[in-house]
Amino acid sequence: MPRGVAWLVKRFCRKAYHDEVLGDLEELYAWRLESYGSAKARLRLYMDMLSAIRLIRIENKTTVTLNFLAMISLKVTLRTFMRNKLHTAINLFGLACGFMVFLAIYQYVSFEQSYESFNPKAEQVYRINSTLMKDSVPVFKTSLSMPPLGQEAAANIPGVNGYAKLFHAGAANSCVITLGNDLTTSFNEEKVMFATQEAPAMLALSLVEGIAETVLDQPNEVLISKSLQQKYFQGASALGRTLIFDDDDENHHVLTVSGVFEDYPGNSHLEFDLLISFQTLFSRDGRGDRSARFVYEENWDGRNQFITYLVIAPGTDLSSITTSLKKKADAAIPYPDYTYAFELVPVSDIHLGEGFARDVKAVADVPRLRVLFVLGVAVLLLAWVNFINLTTATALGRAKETGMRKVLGGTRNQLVYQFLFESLVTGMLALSMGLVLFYWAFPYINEFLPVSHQWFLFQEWGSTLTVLAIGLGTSLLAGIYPALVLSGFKPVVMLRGKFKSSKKGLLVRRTLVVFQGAISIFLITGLFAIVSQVNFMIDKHLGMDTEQVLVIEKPGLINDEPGESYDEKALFNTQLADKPFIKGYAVTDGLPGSRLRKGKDINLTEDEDNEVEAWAVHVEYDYLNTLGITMMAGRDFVDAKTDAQSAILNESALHALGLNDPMEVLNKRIYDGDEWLTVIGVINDYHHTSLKKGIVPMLIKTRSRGLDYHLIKMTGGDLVANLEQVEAAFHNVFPGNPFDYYFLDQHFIENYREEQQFGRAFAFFALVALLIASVGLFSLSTFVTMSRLKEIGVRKVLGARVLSILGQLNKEFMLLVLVAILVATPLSVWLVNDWLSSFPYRIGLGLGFFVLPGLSLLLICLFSVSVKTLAASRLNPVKLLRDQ
Amino acid sequence: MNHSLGALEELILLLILREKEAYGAQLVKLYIEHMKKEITLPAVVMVLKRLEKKGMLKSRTGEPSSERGGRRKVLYQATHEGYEAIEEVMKAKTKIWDMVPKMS
Repeated sequence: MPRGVAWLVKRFCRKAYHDEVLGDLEELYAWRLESYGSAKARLRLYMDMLSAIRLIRIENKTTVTLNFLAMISLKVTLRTFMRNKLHTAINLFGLACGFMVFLAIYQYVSFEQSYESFNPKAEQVYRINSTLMKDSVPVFKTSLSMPPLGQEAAANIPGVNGYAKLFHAGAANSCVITLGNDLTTSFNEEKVMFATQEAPAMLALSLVEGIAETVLDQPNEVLISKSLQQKYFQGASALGRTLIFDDDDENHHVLTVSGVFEDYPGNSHLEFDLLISFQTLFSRDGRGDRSARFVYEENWDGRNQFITYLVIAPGTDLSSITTSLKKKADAAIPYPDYTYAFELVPVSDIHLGEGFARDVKAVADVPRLRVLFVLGVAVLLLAWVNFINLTTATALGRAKETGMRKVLGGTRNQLVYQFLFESLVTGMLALSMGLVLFYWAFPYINEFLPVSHQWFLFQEWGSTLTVLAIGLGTSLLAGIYPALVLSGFKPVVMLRGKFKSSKKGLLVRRTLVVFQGAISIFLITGLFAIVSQVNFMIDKHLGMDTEQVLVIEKPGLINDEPGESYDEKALFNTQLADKPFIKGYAVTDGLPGSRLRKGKDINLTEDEDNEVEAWAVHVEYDYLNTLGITMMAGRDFVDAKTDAQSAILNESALHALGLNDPMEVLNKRIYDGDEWLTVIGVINDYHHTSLKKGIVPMLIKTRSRGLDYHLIKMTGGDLVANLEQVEAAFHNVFPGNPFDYYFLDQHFIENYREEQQFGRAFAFFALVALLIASVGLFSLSTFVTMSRLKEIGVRKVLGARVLSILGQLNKEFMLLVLVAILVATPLSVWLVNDWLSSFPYRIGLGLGFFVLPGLSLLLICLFSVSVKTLAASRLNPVKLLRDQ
Repeated sequence: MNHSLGALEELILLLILREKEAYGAQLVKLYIEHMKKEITLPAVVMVLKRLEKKGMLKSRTGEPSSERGGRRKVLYQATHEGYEAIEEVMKAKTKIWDMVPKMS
């Protein structure tokens, strides 16, 4: 029996009965579990629990009397609701929308902050970040570290109670996993890591199969995630099955599954589907005379390619650990002037901290989180303002009722209670509606504010209580103004049927409307800016043609005869060349749309001071033509052999070298840090990376090895049939590899996904905010119009036309909105400009940004206000005046 | 002392008389079995306490058992007053029932 049930029942029931009632409940629950199954048994148990409330008073009465005051209040509340059906519905809807947006954002933000919280050991686990320094100036910083740091720390430094080391196989290589029992079935996997034996416990892996203590203690053991178990073995037990691992560095391991783990939680800085035991690496071929064990485990001068975690006892001095590691590391650096600096980051701080190029998962964009959180609060505020406004407005309309209650002896306390009670009921109703809306909208919201699962927020008591508290606070605060102000009026004044709305109250309400308008303006402007910036980046010409370019990443499984190297690319090229729909084929190590990775300092002279920073891309075959990149001068490569010592520069490199005319550099020799090359051509600049980065000086070279991406330019026609032909050729050349591909233009757009998500989030919030604002204005205008009906009647009788009355009625609102526009537009444009300034290629802020948001808001407001005022101004004056 | 009986009180009392001695969970099961519908435990407990207060039931504490999470059950037995009260009601009801013309 859940503990909560017993707790609640105990609250209800007098102490002497605890044993009896709880025992009975327990017995019944067990019995029902057996005869009905768990779902129904649970339901009945909860019903029992709720019904236990009647045990509060056991008397000779069958009816339990509710609190008298509460009954009356509830009745009055329901009556008020029924009397103003439309108004109540609008009020509820507006607040519910506000709650929905707030919930969505609150959930997203708390998800981003919850990283690693599922790991009970997270407080003690630290990751080592390494910085290489030259003369105490940082050269590069990374979240990875050299091989022996972990065991050194665990063995020799007091306070370090263990370590784990991960090696990300999928980050540098394409991995292919082939099923041992069916050698024809293979999959490309990216989330593959090698992990030491301690890693599963340290990362709080929860095993579905396998024994936690021994899962990775032998070479050639592998742990797979539950989804992979489903994918590979259709959910059948995976223990003892054989998986064959291949990667494009020609590593080959035959692995035995020793365990299955629940898919690793989404709120972790790591993500992996396969964990292979670290000792497996030791069976690889070493480098030269160095054994693999030395390369992966012992080399103090080794590459920084391991994620190392230390378990550190609480209270240990972190700097003493880093200093002693630094001593060991510095001693091994063969070059003078270079030193290492280490940093220990608690794993729970990783996601909100500094990000590095080779992180498994990008860290959170903290400024963006802040913007989102502010937005969420703003929309909630907007809805809340509406709620206050409308509650006050309704309360004003209830002057007579309030007066009557006072005359008949209602105390002020009772009135305050009544108003508070009403807004509490409304608020709680709205909160539950908000939850329902949130539930409906979740699949959509999750696309731009992704969290791991729907009710993430309510897994914890803390955040659940916060939501409840906000709901309660919102509704009570909204009730306070009418409660305190209106209950204080003299009954005589009120019975005349009108509150004299004080100047102060009016000011408050006007400010609130202006505030709403301002937030709406900001949201609309932001939305305009984001959408046009993203479209601008997608549409801008890149200086090359990325359409219909197929990208195939280098397959992981290359079945070369031992000792023989065979050029598959050449075969692929000839197989593709005779197909009429293929316009070009190229291989490159720098995929356009991805980051440039190979930095080179180029130099026309031998003087080091003339060095210019540039980025190198290696290509083979028809790279320039395939992508439609145009030459300024010179020629393209002939082939990799002939032009092994040649280079092509881009226009930016030309300018960076201080030249303007490409002829000046043509056929000159250039030093790239390793070798002297002859410049054979200069190309026009093209955007190799996304438009979020500027064009950098580039050096294009040709060679035949180490090229990871196949680019295939196709022409129109039947795409499906063409793809089939490419696939057939692919299987011919690379047998045993799955055919995975994507298109280059899509790959480019992927770069803007964050901005697109941000844009969608903004669009959603702007829409909701506008909805709330217009609904609020509509409702408010209804009240104002109603209270001025008589005036309208008199005006009409005296000959006023519909239009002038409409003008009269709309004037106040429009003025307020205008004020909001005037205040908010410059501020929003300023903020938007700030955001845009981080893009090297950005839209200009034309007049449209100053005018359009304001204009659209004005139109929306005019519309929502006019719905009611127009109807009122067209009424027959006789009807208006006959009232009363 | 109040001797009137509600419908549920009547039924529970009858069930207890039949079983000689019964406790809450058992009565819920019996109720479900005989009446073919669900009832919540607190409803039964309330009736039991009320009947006890009226002097129609007396109770004693039973042995703790593991299926109840080690808690003791409270067993109820009908008193003479209880028996008489139900007898009176049942007699009256049977008498009326005998006079009801049969519907075919």
